[in-house]
Amino acid sequence: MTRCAVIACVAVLASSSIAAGQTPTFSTRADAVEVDVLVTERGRVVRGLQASDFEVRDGGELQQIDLVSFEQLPLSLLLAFDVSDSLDAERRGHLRRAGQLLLAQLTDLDDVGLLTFNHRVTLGAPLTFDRARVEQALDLVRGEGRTSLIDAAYAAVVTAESGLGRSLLILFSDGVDSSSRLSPDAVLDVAGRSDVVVYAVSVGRMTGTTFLADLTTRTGGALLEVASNNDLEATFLQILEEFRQRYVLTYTPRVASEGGWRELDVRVKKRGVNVRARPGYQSEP
Amino acid sequence: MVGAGLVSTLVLAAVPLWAQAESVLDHHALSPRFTAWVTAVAGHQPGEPDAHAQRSVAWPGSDLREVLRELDALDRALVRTAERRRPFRPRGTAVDGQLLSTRETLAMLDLGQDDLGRGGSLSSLVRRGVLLHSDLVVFLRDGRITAPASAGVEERAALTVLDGQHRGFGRRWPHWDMARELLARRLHDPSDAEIARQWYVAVAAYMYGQGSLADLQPHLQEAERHFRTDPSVLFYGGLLHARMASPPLQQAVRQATLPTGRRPDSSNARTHLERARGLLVRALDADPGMVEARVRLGHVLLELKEARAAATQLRQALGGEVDDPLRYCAELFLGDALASLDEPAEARSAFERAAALYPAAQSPPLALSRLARAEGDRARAASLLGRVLSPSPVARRFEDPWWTYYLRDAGTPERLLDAWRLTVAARSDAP
Repeated sequence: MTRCAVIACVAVLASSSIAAGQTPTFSTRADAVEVDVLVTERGRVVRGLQASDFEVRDGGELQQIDLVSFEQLPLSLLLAFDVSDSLDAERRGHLRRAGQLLLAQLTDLDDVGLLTFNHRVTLGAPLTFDRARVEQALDLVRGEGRTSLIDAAYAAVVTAESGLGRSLLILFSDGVDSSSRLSPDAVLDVAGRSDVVVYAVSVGRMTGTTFLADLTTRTGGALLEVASNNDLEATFLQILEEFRQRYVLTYTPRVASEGGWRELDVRVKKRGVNVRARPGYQSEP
Repeated sequence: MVGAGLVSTLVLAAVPLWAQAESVLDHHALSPRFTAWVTAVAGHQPGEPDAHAQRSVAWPGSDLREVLRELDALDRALVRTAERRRPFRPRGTAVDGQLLSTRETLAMLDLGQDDLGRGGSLSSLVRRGVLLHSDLVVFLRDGRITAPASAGVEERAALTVLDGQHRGFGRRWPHWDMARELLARRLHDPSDAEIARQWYVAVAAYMYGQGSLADLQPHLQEAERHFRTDPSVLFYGGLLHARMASPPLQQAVRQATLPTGRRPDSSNARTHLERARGLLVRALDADPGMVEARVRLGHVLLELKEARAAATQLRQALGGEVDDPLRYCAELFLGDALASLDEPAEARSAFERAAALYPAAQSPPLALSRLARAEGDRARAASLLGRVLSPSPVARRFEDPWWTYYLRDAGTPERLLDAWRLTVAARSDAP
């Protein structure tokens, strides 16, 4: 799946591509598109790829990739935790520790926030560089009430995309919505138009609802169903590490867009690798 | 018992009439179980968790079915007595080791001496029986009476759902069934039929408000059989199916398997929504002034993706007298309908009217934000959210009436039950 954002105006250096470790450069063109890509081979992240290793088709048209970035860009990390009745003390403890471990892995350039939801969606800590504020909000997490997962996903996506860096949303829930007002399709549409990558985590296998699977697919993320609460900390860290190892491809579409949904097809020329990227993006005319 | 009486009558054809009567009716003895039931029914103070209620709560369904059989047999005996113009004198019966006189037994059955010649009627007993059994369930639910853990457990199981998840199985009690069976024996009488109708409506409201949907389904099936054009009965039927279609219940039902190995309900959301639509339309045909039914119908149509029809119903409902929580929900639904009809300005107005009713509620700003976001206005979308996402200083569980839309008491059940008790009491006191 492909993370994708239409960049309205970016003013930096122009370059064709970079290897991991070099200073990133960006296009000055007003209609450049960013594509967030994860490349794996037999479960391991593939590093060291260059622009020439990728093929991007936008609406079926092969594109010239201007830039490939890896690891250097700051993150905007939003945590969204389900704190409904199903959150018992044990799970609450694991979530808190998972959040704290994530905070410890962030750099000074990364901002982070916490959103919690039961029937009510609450922004415990908006995106901030103040780690202590987020830690305090984590300590206040309690389990009660019903679940407005779909409303929360919408609020989380809108909040996350306001961040300064690459937007990563880690959403924890058992997946059962019982009190949302927004429709799943409307929220999936919004997510598809944003540049936020959503990773969702649940304990146990989800049945009867595909919302989280659809949300993560639409944004180029992944749904991780862990076996027990004990796996939460490691899973959260795995998500962060994986996200940092995604490539960001930048290109300027060859054909001027008339607006609307643009299908994306991202491939790596090397055989036998798995490419995960957003399936498309919403283009403005 | 009936056969033995007939044989005795034939055998004693040559015996004087007064002796014949006594011989025939001597066979009609009251069992200790039936007597205990009658004692409780006669002694229970409606609405009070008294000693009679406490003793009665744990009766299993099998015992109550036996009581019904005896009641029917007694009723037939009374009818025969009336037909033959013979006096009715049930044999004295034993209660707590003491043999009651015939007069005492008659008093217990609420039958006066005059009733003997007419054959009498058990209508008063039946009505009071419905009172007792209805009260028992209410007392069990609100904790005023606690039944022994091993007692009164039905073989059928009710699914317990919390926050869209199947959490286990609850106990069901035989008392609603008993009350329905008793009422069924009085439906031929027009005045008792009205009491029965009121009972069905009051109890439906109570069951819906309590979330006792497993009880509500058979209850409404019977109600519709007897009162198929009654708008209130149809309304609650519509509510039930709309609720069964709701995402949390659908999710829980998909997860659960009953101890019998079967699924609790195999109908999908669309089937329930279609049933809800049919029932609510019929309710409104019978009573076009039922505003809540119109709002509920609007929501059902919205869920069925019939936005234009939904908007029509909701606009009509909003033109009537609607309480604030329901008006709020109706404006939200109308906004959704108009948004899907690609009328964003009108949709926005509806959401803003909802927001004006409940400024702290989250649903309108979420909807307005989503509209703005769909139009590409990210800044406005984020700004609208910012107003309502801050932590609430006071935990206000019901600040958004949408959160309690499916749980909302439709018809204030306590008031309906109290009114019904008064109606029964007045009827019982009447000559």
